[in-house]
Amino acid sequence: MADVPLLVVSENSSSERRITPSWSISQLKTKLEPVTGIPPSCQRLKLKTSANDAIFVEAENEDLKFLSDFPLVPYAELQIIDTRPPGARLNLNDTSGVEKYVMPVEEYEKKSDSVLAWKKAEKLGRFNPDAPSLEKAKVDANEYEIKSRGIEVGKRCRVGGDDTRRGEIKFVGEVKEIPGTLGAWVGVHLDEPAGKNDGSIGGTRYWGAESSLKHGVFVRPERVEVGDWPPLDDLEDMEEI
Amino acid sequence: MREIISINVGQAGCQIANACWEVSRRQKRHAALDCGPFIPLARPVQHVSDDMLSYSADNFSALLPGARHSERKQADPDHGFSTFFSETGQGKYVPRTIYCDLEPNVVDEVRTGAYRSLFHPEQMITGKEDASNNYARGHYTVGKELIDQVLDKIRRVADSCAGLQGFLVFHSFGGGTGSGFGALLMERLSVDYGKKSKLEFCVYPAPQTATSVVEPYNSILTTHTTLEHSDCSFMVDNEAIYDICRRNLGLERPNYENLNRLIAQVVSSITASLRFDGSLNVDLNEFQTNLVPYPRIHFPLVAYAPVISAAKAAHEANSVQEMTMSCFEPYNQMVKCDPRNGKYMATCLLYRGDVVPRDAHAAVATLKTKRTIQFVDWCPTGFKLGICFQPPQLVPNGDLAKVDRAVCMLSNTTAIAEAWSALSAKFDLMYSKRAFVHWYVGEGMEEGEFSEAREDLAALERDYEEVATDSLEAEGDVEAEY
Repeated sequence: MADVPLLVVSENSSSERRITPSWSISQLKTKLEPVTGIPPSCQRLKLKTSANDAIFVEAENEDLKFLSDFPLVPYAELQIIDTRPPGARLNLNDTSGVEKYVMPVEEYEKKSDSVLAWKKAEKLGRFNPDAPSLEKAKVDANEYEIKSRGIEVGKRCRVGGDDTRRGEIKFVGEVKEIPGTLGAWVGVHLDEPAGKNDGSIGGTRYWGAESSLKHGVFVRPERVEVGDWPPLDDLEDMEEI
Repeated sequence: MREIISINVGQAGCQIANACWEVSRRQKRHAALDCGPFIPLARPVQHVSDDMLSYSADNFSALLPGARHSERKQADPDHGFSTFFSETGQGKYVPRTIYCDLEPNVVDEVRTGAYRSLFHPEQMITGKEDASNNYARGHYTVGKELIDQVLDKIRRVADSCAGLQGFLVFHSFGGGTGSGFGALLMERLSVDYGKKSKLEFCVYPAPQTATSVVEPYNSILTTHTTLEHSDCSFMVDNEAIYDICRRNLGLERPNYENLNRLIAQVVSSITASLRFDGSLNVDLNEFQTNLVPYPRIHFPLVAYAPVISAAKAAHEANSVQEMTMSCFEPYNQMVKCDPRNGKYMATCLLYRGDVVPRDAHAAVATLKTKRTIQFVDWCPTGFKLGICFQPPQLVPNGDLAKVDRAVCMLSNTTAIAEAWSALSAKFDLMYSKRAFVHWYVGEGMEEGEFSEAREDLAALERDYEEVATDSLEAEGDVEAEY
């Protein structure tokens, strides 16, 4: 008789297993030990025979009772119940109680067959003496954007990819109130109050006067397009309607 | 000729192989119908100019060998077919493959199954005693009884090759034969065949559901042992595949056969470039050249699209753009991890079927605008494309719809390190209690091998961290406007 695939499920495992009908119950239990981690003597096997019914696979003498005596349907679920009290079982799932081993940095640095050793040897990334430091590279890129885009205080511009927000550049420089960034930000006074602030941020005023209307916005230079963008006239479109 | 021998180890390996040969055989038949029986795989040869091969100019040197090979292959129309099949005296084609398992049942089904005539009985080697989910049994006690016989048969197949490229090894990481015997085989292949390429296709434990309690041990032991012997390992995790089957194919309770058919389709896409003319990865070692910057970092993330059922296929446009994008969605990946948390070292997009280079390039151009796809700055690679005009084939009674085109993405990303992180934590939990360790020691393994393996995996996690450090950080956490 050919093997029957069953879905073997226990507290700590779930898998499809091929079950040979000529095995005795004892043989099956022995094979299930390394799968479920439950010793054969503590296993109770429950075979689902339909959506609502299940039978226990057990016998007086399990060495002599064979699986072919049970209704093995392909892909039926075979549940392995651990009959030990919960306290006697091993916890194999909750890793919160055990600290995961992480290789100490000093030890990793000693290794010769590591990515670190290779990067050092090949002078890659931060070991490349010719490459500017990361921070400098960021600032350089930022400066380049400002220059190449012609960003200067007093110029007209539009913000973002589309053409919905236009305004005037009021400030170019570092904004210490915005955390975790290097290089300059561009402060724009938008024609419409479609920004984030009134020209001040975190208590520091960069331009203008206090207002409840949010005409002000700080963006990175790459989102600013300088040009002759007059204020949008909303009424212009009305003629077409 | 550049032959490849595939070796299928253990239940998972053998069953995936069955599904793969179904797919390959369909492809052969298909081609034979198109081109007549005596030119098994004559097909349109696509010539893509060198600058189309890659978006990164720095990468020319890695790709030029590919161009050379396709020229050579043009002169040898039989090339693709003979890579994986040998011809017997009677005009019959036999796959260059070996099945091995420590227990006989799974392979017995191949011996008596629908595809039995495809194989020579000598290609199937089985023992009598299973590995009981125990790496030590597969690697030491039981495995050593079978290894010489297996190597002997491999030698015989290798001797019939004019220019052996290397090996594809299919195995699971969780099972006893797959992990233990698989690792032993990789070690011995290194001894016997030196620098010949060895690629692995491995079933990796799913993060949530373990198939057995000792899976973390087996996986970490085998990863450690094979780390220096594998050139490139393509991992699939059952849970990811299971979810794809449920979500995309509407299978309520997918079984291993469903999972394996999907894996086979992916394997077929990866090997398509070895079997058919194309513009990338035409040699086994080119996977390594293109994807692996440093030998230890050799676990590309695989994604495949479209995975759709016949019922849905009619309603999907499946444009090149769409299917390319969906490869970068976590739910189409073969391993559960989040690439948005990682950095890419290289990405290959292997297209099949009705795909013109222009569309592929447009899709890549869109990808490059995505802030979620970050490359490390020290690695001179970018997106690489391969196009094979042979569309994906179907297996009879398969779950996937017939489509005109498909894409397989291979990405070396640091996100895949997540796969080991969870497993290592489980290993630590079990090992702190020495749970089940006696099963391994009882098979002659030394306890020191556990800590040595775990140590190596900890170093691997550090390696992946080191890969990702000192790239220009995208200001992902910073708002665009203030």
